[in-house]
Amino acid sequence: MDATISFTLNGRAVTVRTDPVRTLLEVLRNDLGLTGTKQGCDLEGECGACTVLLDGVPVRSCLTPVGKVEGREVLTVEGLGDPDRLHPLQKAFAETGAVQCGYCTPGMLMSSAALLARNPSPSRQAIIEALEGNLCRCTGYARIIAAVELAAARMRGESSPDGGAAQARPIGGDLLRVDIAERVTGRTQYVEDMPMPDALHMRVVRSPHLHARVVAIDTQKALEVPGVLRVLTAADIPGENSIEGYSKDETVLVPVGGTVKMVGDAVALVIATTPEAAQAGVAAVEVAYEPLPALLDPEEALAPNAVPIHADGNVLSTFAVTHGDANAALAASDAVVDVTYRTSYLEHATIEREAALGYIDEEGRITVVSGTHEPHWHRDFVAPVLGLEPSQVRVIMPPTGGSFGKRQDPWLVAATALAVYHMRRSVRIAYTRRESFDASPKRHPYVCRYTVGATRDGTLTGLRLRVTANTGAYDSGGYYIPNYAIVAGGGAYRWQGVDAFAQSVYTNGPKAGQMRGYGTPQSNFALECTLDEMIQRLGDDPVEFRLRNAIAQHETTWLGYPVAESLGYRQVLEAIRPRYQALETAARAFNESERNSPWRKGVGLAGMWYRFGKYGIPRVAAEAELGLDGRFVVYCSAPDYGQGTATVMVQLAAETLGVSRAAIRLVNADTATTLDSSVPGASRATYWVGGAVCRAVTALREVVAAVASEMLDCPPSAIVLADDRVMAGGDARRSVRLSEVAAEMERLGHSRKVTGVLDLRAQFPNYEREVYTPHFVTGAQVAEVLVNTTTGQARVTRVVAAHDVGHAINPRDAQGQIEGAIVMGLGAALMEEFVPGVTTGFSDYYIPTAKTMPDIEVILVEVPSYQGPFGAKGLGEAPILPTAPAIINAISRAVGARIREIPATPERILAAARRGGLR
Amino acid sequence: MKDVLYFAPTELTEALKLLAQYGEKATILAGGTDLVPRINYYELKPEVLVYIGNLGLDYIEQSDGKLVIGAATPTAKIAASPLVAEKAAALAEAARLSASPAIRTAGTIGGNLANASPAADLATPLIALGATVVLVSAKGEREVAVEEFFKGPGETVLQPGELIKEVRVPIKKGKSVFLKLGRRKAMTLSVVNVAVYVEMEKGQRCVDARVALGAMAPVPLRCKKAEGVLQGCVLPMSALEGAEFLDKARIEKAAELAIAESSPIDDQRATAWYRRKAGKVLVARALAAAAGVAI
Ligand SMILES: Cc1cc2nc3c(=O)[nH]c(=O)nc-3n(C[C@H](O)[C@H](O)[C@H](O)COP(=O)(O)OP(=O)(O)OC[C@H]3O[C@@H](n4cnc5c(N)ncnc54)[C@H](O)[C@@H]3O)c2cc1C
Ligand code: FES
Ligand code: FES
Repeated sequence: MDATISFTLNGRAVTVRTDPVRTLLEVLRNDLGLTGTKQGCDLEGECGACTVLLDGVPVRSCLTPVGKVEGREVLTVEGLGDPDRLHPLQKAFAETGAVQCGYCTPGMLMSSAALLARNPSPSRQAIIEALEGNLCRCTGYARIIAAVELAAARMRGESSPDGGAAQARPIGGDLLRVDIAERVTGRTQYVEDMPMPDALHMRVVRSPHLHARVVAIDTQKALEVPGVLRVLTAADIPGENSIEGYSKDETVLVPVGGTVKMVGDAVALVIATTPEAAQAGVAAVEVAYEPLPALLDPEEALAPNAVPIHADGNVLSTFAVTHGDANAALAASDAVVDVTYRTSYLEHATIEREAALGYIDEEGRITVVSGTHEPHWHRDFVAPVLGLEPSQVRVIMPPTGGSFGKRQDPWLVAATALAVYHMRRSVRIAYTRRESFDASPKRHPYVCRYTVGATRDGTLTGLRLRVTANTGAYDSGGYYIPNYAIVAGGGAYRWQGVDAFAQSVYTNGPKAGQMRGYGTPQSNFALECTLDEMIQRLGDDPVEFRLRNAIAQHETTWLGYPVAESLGYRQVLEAIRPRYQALETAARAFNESERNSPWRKGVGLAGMWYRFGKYGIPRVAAEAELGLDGRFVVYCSAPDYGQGTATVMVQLAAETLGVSRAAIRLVNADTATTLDSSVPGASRATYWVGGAVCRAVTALREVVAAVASEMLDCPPSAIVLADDRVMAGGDARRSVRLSEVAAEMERLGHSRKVTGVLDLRAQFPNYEREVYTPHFVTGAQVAEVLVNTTTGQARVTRVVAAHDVGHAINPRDAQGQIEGAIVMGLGAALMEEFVPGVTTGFSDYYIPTAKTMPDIEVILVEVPSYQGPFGAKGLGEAPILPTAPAIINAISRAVGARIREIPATPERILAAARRGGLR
Repeated sequence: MKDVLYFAPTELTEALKLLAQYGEKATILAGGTDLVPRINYYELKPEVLVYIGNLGLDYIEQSDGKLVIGAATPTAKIAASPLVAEKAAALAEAARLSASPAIRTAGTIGGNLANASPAADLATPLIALGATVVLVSAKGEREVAVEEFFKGPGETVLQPGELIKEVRVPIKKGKSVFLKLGRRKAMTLSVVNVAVYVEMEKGQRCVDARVALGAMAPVPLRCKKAEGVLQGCVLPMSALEGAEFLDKARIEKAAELAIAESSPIDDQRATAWYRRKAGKVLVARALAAAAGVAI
């Protein structure tokens, strides 16, 4: 029953006529067009992205029926400040690196604003408590807290250091993100924020069964639901019902006669005029299932008589490495550790849910705007589904609220494209949080059996490794998991003999796919914990042991070839050594003085190597153009889902050209306007796409110099570039504007756009080998943990992280990536676990909050790469690898018994403490 | 969730009239932090919503030796109240540790009780403090002890047409303590929570002890057996006469009895095994803190 509701919104009186039970969030976003306030969960109060101020007090707008705000005052992020007049908090968030993807930012800002209004000088603890209900998956919270401190100081009128906005040179300085003013004011439009008034709404009919045959699909009742226009099933797919190339044997929609293989498998798409009608349509689609026996345990799925989940059986892929004679090496060892480690399904839990907007663009292409790691890949996977050529499909990367691998799955793009294909109209879809948990790929759970040998003096001998990776219902980009599991699982160590075998096994669990570190954190966890067991057995030192056994730069590794890039593992271990020693000594003293208390302090260390090589041919292209307006335009495909790649590309271009960042415009990740980088983002973007961008702008500079030298009558070598002009030598009087150069190029018929190619085939001659991954970044972390041995509660108090980044293009963003990865790794170590059929969302999948955050100290070790731009390497994913093993080693040492399964919940810690003889 | 009749009365009598008129069809809306998620997720389709935030039930007062808290008082206000901190420390602490700031600003004490979650954080301190709730309807008023208010998960003694008007907490001389364990530090439902109240005569003899456990049974639980073994005990160094010493062993005995009275279950958050082990530690720690005994 509609009512008229009047309230003050961002200082202005507004009146809406609506159902008073609708949420304030919906009314703000849909009726009032204020999309700065975000929805991260199923309107259940769990995420905090929707936080607004009601009479100055923070509330969840998703839990606030709009009727309640009658006569009251509402403040949203849009009312806090605007890009030209940023609120001190917005300015501080921008300057301190508190914003990565920015999806949590509006909520964080509003919670912070309420705090500072009440308490102008909050303690750190008070800030943490004020923000404890706002989830952020990217930053690890430290920079957000620092931003609030900075803003508070400024608002009190204290002079405070400039947050680093003004730096002379584009790289190496702490620089602002390119689109930061929009992100901190709620102006950035993520997919769900993009207006498209006549768009239809799509919802998905999904399997409630783990494993069942689809006997029949009856869409009649759904079509009778008012507003439902169409129900699409497998029969409506014009091309191939497959996303082969990304995921072997995965259908877009399970056909009648086929089998659903997991809860959340898609069976039909309902397209309607409103989301509610689409939802009602989903409920009305009648699917008859014949349940089949379900397998959740990969060991059971491997049994000879196990029900085959896919036609070819339950093994998706295998990989093995043999080096030397592992058996002989183990037999000749003084000590052998033979242990099994287990990990669980993990969810990316980005604060933005999956969303897409599809339409037909001006050139008639089926266009989908949705988060992706390489839009060209998605285009190429999706075109065959529609029976179209790739050129008839366009994929655009919008501002995206985090990925961590989640957005590499092309299913959503395929389904949206299919809907647009049939409806010839724009269509939008956003998953519910539950759906996101059910249907998106997870991190593979591993069972790793390690047999490791060493001599009495602490030299590693043999490694036998068996990994069973649970890939769930589908390949989902998991085909190469065994390969990654083993490369990470052997580590940057010198082994005399290796016998390693890994297999990826189908079950009826959720499909497992890409997630930060792709298949490596699990085996690195098991490796680094196993090594710690060996170190304790030998009474050795964790740093010295690793240093003693670390691969040297030029030696042939156990993979059969030497590394082709600089390897900073020794430097990293040496950098962290004093911090390890200091924390270890302090922990001993603590445990001694607290002998009678239930508290124990533990310190653990773990290392890692992580490959950031590119698949296939080591060649990437990008383009650079001189615009008619005299600005440089860079075209590349390096999707930015929050990690800051767009900023890095602009920085690299500006540095290479010797101009300021303002002179560069970036066109990024749109299949209609940029080249295919075939680099799926993340850790590889800086090194590979960045390298191509540098080459493109270098080539452009040459073309510009050639033309300008004619205009200025000087040799090309004397040409100096400035932001808007070109000068002959240092003489500002002899100059022409870049726009004039562009006009001259037009007149001469010179192309203003050039291509730059990074081609490393000569440097990496082995690239055609089946497994060739010669580029590694390395790192090591120390965790300090306080454990209550009577309740099993553990608190990670400190993490020190040393990472080789080659050269930090944006040191603050590099630190931010590391902090975010550590907090995510902490979640995996202590609390995160997706249980198929049980876990539904943020209320039962706990991710770390501001209160969980440890003190983090980052040591950037810079061992320049040989081939990367300005010596840079890849970073985004790697820092997650050492966190969980460092924490688990710390806990195990504290309680005197090993924990071999993560997450180390209070239960598991308590059980270990009892095994360790404590209480 | 559409086509709901929504009322926001400004007088209690008006609200009671609406509740009487619509009977079982009426649902009370306070902070909405428990109710609205269920409505949003289509689980619940109320026909009539009566918002009680404008009835003037948002107050914390001291009268007649009691702390009187209006049912629509937000948890945040309870957490921040010096009066509550002084007179009912365990309640203040429970309020401080529940949910997160933007939930506490909306969620109310009445809603926390009426929602009747076995893990409701405010229920245990109220039981330990011997609090009562005042229930009103168009027909009249009654007062019920909080420990008798719950009947099962999501079930209470509330009748259609009735609402919680206020909570009354007797102000007593003893000390109350609240402890909670969850699966993470913030925004976490209790895996187990404990509230105790202990009154020590001359600081040495236990003359009153109350123990309550949350998330350990279908309802927030009062543990009378545990309380029994503490009554009359004296501190080991005391000059007073007492039945037994109130020492580490006695406290552990009480903790054991409390756990024996509970019936925890396995769920996503923890197993019953863990709840028993950790719950016992928590009871002992809370009792020791309240009685001033080192354990
Ligand atoms: C993210 C999140 C985290 C949470 N964490 C915690 C936590 O840590 N600990 C905890 O205890 N709770 C927690 N809660 C639950 C909730 O916030 C509290 O229970 C809160 O106190 C409920 O109060 P409310 O006013 O919002 O209730 P409402 O949602 O308005 O109402 C809840 C129920 O009580 C009824 N009701 C409300 N007021 C009255 C009244 N005066 N008389 C009769 N019936 C009434 C309603 O009809 C409804 O059935 C959490 C909730 C969320 C969303
Ligand atoms: S959308 Fe409101 S808390 Fe998640
Ligand atoms: S920046 Fe916080 S969720 Fe991405």
